[in-house]
Amino acid sequence: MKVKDNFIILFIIFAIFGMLVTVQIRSTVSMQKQSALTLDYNRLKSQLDTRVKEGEQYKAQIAELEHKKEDFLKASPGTNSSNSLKNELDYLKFISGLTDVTGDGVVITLNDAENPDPASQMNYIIHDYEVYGIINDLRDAGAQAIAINDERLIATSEQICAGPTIKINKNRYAVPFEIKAIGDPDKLYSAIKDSDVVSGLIQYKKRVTVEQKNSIVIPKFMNDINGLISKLEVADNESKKEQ
Amino acid sequence: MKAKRSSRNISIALVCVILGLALSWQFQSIRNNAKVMTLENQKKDDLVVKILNEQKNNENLRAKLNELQTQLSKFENARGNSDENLKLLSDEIQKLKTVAGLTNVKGRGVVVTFSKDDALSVEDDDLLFVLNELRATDAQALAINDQRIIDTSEVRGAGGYINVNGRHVLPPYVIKAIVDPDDAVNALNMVGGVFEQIKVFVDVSVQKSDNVEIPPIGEELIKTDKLKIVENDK
Repeated sequence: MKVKDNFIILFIIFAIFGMLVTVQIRSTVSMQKQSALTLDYNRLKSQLDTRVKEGEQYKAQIAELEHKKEDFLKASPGTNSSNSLKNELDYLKFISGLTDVTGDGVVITLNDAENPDPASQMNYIIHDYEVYGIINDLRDAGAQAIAINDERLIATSEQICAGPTIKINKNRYAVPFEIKAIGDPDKLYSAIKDSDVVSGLIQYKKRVTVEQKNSIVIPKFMNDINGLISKLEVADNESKKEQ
Repeated sequence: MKAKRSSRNISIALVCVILGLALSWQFQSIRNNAKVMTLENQKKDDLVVKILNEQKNNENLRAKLNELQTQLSKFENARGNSDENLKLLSDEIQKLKTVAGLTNVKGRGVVVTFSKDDALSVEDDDLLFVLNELRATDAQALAINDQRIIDTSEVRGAGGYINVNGRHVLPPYVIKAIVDPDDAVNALNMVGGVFEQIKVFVDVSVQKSDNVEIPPIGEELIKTDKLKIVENDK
């Protein structure tokens, strides 16, 4: 009887020991996996850094080339007719969104709700239609230049959902979105503050801020210009008459 | 005999307590590890998305860079030749006029028509929805009932009519776009897409056309009085 008692107790102890050992081994294995993951993470991070640097290099090169082009165009002889052409060129660039501009207006930031309910997550994230709804309200209130995350909006700029990001001028952006608009600050502010879109956002606790600001700088449109007009054929000479 | 037995009991109890402690500690550490792992995974996924974004953005930049380089080599060739120079200048102006929407343009595209019978149910959101989808399919020129859409064009419903560029636009509402017609029709008809959602309330249809003509924006509608050009010193 006594012997059997001992046996059972020892058996249980060893069983628990066995369990502990297995658990320990599994934990160690997963720890190793994790360190591999960290390694991966660092590799990805350095990859991202190189990409960002690459992009900055391109931007610098583009700025330099554009400057050169400007010089070439301006280098043509200083006759009256060519001077007026140069002025026209400057004006057209200005109204086409091809110059950096500054002025007073509003800055709006949009972000997903904090701690969304996972079951109805779609209700708590910023959607493309909310973004272009706000853009339309800004235009309605007389905004003269608009940018989202410093991506200048022109006539054909899309704001469309692409997975977890929104595509603007073919470039992808994730939250938070910062919308800058130049116009009459009071008009813009009240148009956005009381808009249906914003009250809808607040209802789902999405994070919205609207602020009036002076001297907002909105950068120029950065993409390829030829891509904007490659399919267009100028239909009549009405506009050519002026030349 | 009795003393021996109780000392054995005590030692077994002690072993059990230690085991229990070790067990609970072990579990806690594992749960912790799992939490850290999912967090790391999440961060990794975020990074992958960011890298892909940058990659795409860089591609666009590279295209722009290439365009500029070819242009510059043209300028380089024209150096010293003032006629050639003037021609390049006026070409550039013509191009920018089209970009700005100041020219009457035509090309292949689509015409989207909202049924006149449902005119009262057409909301500005419906028109914006179509416009945005067409933009995403690389539309190069857009107009609502011959009001050219430019960077500052609003679309605002006002009951019996809709305001575009501050002008009343009356039904039937027609959106014209110069765009790849097949792409545009596919995009609009996508399952769960624009047309499916609009058709619940309004009958809407799209026709491809080889000759869509889109009028220029009235120059008086371009307002820039609140803007100042930032002079770059570079």
